[in-house]
Amino acid sequence: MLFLPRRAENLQRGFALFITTITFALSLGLWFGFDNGQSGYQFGERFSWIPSLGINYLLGIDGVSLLLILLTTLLMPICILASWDPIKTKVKEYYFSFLLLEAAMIGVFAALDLFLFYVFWEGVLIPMYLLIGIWGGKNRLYAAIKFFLYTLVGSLLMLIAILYLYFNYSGGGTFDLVNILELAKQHPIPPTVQLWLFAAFSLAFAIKVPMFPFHTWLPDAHTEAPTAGSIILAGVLLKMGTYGFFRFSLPLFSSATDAFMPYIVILAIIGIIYGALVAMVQTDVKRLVAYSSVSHLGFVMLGMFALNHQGLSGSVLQMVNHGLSTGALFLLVGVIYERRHTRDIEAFGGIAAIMPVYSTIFLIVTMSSIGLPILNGFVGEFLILNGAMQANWPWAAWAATGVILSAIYMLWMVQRMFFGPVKHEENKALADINWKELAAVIPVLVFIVWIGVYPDTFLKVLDLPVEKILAARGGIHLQTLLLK
Amino acid sequence: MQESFGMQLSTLGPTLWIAWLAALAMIFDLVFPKRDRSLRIFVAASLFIEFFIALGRTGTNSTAFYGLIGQSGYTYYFDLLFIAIAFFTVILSGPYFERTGLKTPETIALMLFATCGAMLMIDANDLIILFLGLELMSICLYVMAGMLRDRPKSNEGALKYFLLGAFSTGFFLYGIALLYGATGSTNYGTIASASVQISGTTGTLYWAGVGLLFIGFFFKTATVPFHFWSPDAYEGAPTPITGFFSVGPKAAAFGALVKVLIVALPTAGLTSADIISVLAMLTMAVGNFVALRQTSVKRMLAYSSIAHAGYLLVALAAANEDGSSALLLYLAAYSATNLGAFTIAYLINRKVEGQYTFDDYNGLSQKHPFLAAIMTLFMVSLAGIPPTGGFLGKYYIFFAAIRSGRLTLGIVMALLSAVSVFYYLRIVVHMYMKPAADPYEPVKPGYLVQSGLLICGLVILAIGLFPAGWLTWIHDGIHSLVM
Repeated sequence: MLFLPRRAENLQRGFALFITTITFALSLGLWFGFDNGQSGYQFGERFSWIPSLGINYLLGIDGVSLLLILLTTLLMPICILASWDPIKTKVKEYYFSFLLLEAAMIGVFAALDLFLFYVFWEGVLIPMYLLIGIWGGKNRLYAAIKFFLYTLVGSLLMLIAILYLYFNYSGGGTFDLVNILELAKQHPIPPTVQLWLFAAFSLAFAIKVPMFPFHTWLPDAHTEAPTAGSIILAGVLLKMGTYGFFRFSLPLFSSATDAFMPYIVILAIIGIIYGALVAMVQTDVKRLVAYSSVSHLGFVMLGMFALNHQGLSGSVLQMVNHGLSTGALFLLVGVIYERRHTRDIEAFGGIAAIMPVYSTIFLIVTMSSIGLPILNGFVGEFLILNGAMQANWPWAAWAATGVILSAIYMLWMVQRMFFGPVKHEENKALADINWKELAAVIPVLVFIVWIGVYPDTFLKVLDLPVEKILAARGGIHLQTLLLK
Repeated sequence: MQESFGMQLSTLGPTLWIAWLAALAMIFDLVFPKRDRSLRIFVAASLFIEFFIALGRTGTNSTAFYGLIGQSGYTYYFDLLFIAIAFFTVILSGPYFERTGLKTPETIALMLFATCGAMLMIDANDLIILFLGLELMSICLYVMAGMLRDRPKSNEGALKYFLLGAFSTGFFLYGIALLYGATGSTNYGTIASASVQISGTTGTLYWAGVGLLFIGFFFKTATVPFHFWSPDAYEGAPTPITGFFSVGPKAAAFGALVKVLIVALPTAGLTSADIISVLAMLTMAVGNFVALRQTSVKRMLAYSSIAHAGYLLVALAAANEDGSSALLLYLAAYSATNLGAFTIAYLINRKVEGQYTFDDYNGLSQKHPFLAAIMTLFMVSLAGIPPTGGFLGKYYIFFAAIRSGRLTLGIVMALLSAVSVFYYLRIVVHMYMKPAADPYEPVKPGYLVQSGLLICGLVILAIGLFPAGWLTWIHDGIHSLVM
């Protein structure tokens, strides 16, 4: 990318699109080559990177990583398309940051070496910071620095925890997750130590998710980021946090997970309801979607910490769902923002008559976000609520209010924007969605319906990883009990 | 059996070459007056060749002059580091000399003599030679700090540096005297073997000597609370020289301190680790928080280098082999980064030695994309974010600190380095996210400077991405001291 001539902006756009599409095709190859029956990590790659410090370049994926990598590579070309026209300044730097971001994100989902994971995790920060800070809205500087500092503080403490783990519980001095897990099975980490390590890891993840009360960076970052930045932020970056919980916190620190479970669930439920209530009073569409993310991610966390099969697989599926539907929502908001240069809900009204195609798509995506049956959101939320019900029914009851609230704020927003009389003269001349925007949103719609109608395609790759986590928990439990 | 004088001299090889080169630089000016550019190219080329000669020498351990001087893997590493620092200082300072009319031959010669002193400090196997090297280096530095003679700030900085430096020299020398009193020798090895059986009054003498020696070192490394000279000296000195100040003497002082701790005072490092870790926390806190409030880029970089001294002290406080290795790695990454950052600081600066305001960076990404991009890399490396050398160095320091059980110190360092991100990214904000307010065009650097900056950037990335070979080299160096 760096070697392309500065003036040839369309060449740069085309090149970025080409690369990201190829990456998507390659990751489809992963999908077809993936063996559902194998419980370990697949497509492993191992190179000795810094042998004297026990660091390996170690990659490998299971079903969860597979889905998230697919989500990343799917959203990437869409982002490139979405920023084709809006981004006119520093085009080269823009796509450079984007490709860097994609590499780092895929790295996060595939890394099995704790150090490597950390490197990728931090590597995401700089490109995202630049994306918000350079191409963002009015308040972009504040939003960018807030995003950066919040995430950094959390992750530095995680680094300390990683090192502590390395020195005390990795045996032969390795950052290899698989080895550390094996060892933890034989010699469980003492519960008090687990509490601290879990806290340090989870702080980093919780900030990223973001869980209430660490969510304050999110509305700012979302609102100020350029459209494609919001898509990727909501679609993938937030999933890094929940993925982190799934991959590291749960299997490594199982007794601490038990100890923290009620608190995390309560925070998740607060997040669900609080996010929904705040979303309801927003006047800015993007801010509304941002707060709805807080609420949806609350669901993901709730499902995960229900700690049973339905909850966990629903939670992972919901990560993907949220990536798809919120990504699409941001994309669509971006479309209208390009035309009107405002995101104020009051500035619209009666658009449905003027932009029929756009409005239809918007409505479908909204329904998916609310969780209407036949669309993807329903499956995820149903599984999560089912899992929560099995664990403790009041949780599910509280969370269900979130579903109702989400229907209220989303439908109210749709009503104010698309139906009723056309209130503003300038809205009358709005052009409907164009082919580039359509090309960007159609693939997402396909997956939204696919997951809604036949989720089994995706759920079956999750079975084994989820079982493995639950089994490992059971195993460790038994041992700690025996030791006592 | 003692080897011939010539053989012994060759042990001092790299140090002597630098001294020769410094002398040649002065003669060059007599023979070809006013040919400053050629002089710089000549010196840079010689340093370049010397770097490779020095690279060829690595591997053999030797001592000379009745054990006063000892060469090993450790000193080779530092020889190369110092030659590289001198090389980059010469390469990167070209436009500055042309803009300010600062006298090239004197400055270059002083810088080379200071380098020579720094190398002598590392080569030393005896406290007297260490002192000799320290003085050779310091006296050159005092003069260099005051090089801008017509500026009050420069004079003020130089005077402060000189007065406080002279005090610290007194402490240092007194420490050597007490150690001699306690152990009967100034030789590293003899001190180490004598220190095993000290007790009572000699013990008091010994520890007082160690303490004074530490104070002397801490002056040079600008450790809080002995740092008061450094912001003024840094601000007053010509900017490329400030860049040199912030890396060369710091590397020399830390390098010599590590060698003394390993070879001469094997128990002192562990005993004083608690005190050092308190000083490290203070240094990091003062450096970072004060840097946060600076309005001048140059002063910000000066305080940031105090903060970095704090990180290096964390490595020292770890008091294990990893700590020493981390220190060596960090010094290399930090040197490449800081030299580059100071170069860009003076290139961007609007008036010669005027206000180094952040606003001068506005819109730099449009005016000069290369400078903006490479400066971003430097800032990211100073902030310690992957995949740069600055990150790996910092990571290794965490590693060492946690291995030695200093969890609190590690956490404090993590939080304070998060603070530092704020002021480093401020420059990135100005370069990329603020439009240029006026049509001010920064100086366009020549190809020589640009390639110098590029090499600095590549070194930073190389340390961050492929550190394996580098680490083996450093470990061998540390082992060569232990044996």
